[in-house]
Amino acid sequence: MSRPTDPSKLRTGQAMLETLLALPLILLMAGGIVHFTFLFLAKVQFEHACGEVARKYVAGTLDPERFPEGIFQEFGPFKGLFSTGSITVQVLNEGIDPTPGKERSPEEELSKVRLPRGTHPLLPTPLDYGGGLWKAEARVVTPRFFLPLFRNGLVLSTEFSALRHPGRDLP
Amino acid sequence: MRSIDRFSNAPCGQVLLATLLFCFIFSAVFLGLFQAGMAYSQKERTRRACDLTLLSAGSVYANGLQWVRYSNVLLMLSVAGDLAMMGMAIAPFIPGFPLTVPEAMVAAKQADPHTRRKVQLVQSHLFGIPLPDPRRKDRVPRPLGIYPTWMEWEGHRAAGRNGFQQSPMNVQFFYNLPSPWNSLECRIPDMALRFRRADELLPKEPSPLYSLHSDGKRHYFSQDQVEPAQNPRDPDQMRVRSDLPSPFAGRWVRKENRLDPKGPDPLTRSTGIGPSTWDLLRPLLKDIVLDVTHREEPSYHALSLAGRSAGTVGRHGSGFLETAGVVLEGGGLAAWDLDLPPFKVHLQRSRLTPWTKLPMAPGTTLGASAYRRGS
Repeated sequence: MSRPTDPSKLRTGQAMLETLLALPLILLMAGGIVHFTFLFLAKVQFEHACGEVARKYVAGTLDPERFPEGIFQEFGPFKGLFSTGSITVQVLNEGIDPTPGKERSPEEELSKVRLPRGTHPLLPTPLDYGGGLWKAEARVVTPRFFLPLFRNGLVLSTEFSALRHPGRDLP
Repeated sequence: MRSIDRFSNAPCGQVLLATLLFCFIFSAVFLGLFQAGMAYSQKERTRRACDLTLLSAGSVYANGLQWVRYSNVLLMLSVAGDLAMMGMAIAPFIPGFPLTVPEAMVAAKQADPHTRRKVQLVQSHLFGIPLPDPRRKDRVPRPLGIYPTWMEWEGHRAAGRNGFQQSPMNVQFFYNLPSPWNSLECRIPDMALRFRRADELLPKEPSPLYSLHSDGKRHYFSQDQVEPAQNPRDPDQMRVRSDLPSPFAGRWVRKENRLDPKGPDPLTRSTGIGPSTWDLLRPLLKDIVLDVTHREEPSYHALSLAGRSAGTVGRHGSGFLETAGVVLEGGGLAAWDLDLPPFKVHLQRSRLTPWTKLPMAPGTTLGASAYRRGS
């Protein structure tokens, strides 16, 4: 095998070699951009889903206990971007309406004493609207490109608040 | 210069330049993508914040309207109490009726404890309703109600919790747009209420209907939408009011034979007395102020919001502006409407027309987010 002595042939070989060297890097970056876009899509979808469950809460069709389930349902076609069962909703400020079913210590109970709530829709209550401030978290399935960066997954977090009237469920 | 030329012509220099260019292009792409993604995410959060803030403030509004119902029950009880006191005062004059009517009226007036007026005064200040004064003929100013102020306060709290900038200039509520008189009035917390007068409970003579035929369809107009056509041959000829924003303005209409499609109202049905007879009582009852009712007919309770999200987008020191609105629906407010379900809050698409009349911040678009560049 003889070495080519023509300078133009030498240059072609050099360009091919450079392209081969640069191609993996370009593909890596292009793949990174695509996965980066998916991360943003997941974030936007997560924000949207939290808003939808809050709206359902205001409409009286969803209780705060079912927020995680509701958020997952609202992901729609983007469910695959999130780890199953990774959604948590934490009550930050219970506001006027305590989350039903949540047990509190006697001290907490005393500190949260409020005006009595109505037991019947005809009985007036001073402030018959309830709600709270919630913090929702969801773990995104880490794209392969970002595995070295986010070994434990990427957690999205958002806070939202809503009030509804009446604060209690109607009998 | 020669050394730069020599370096850029050398393979090592060319590789360095190419690498720098490559890095610059990808940095720009990544930065642009990151900023666009962050902006899109913030826009979604702002839209959500706007909806949830409005729904929250609307819930407080709905709670207030339920309280109006309760207060009307109290008012009716006070009216009953006042009537009982007056009844006891005129009881001694009953045997001498009708000769003792003047004395009975004086006695009733003196015995009237006016408890209802005190309740109405409380309602007026609690809900921000102008209380009509028989001695004043001009328009009574609306007091700043305690509950509407609370509504505004709760709205701002909800806005802060949802990520809006917590300043009055960045979160602005507009009450019952477009029914207020001017753009300033719609920013004062208001529940669109008024005091009903006793004559409004009497059945009214149904007003005639007018119609015209156009493109195979019949279009109907009410009494207040027509005017005399100034036709010398037929003085009764009416036409659609020329100042109406209608394509039929100025066109002649014919009077319909049917008046009220629903038939007579319950009071007329039960007593057999026609509306014209009730009209005799109307001047007497006109000055009697009764309970609180909706200001608009049909009822209209709405709340709109223009808010700017906290944080910044890109290098500019400003967030997104978002506008939206809610309406409240739920029936009457009278004491006898207490068993009706609570008022419901519904999100509605922002209508463009009312917003155009408001002095808004530059960069605000209607019904959608807008990004305002920092000046």
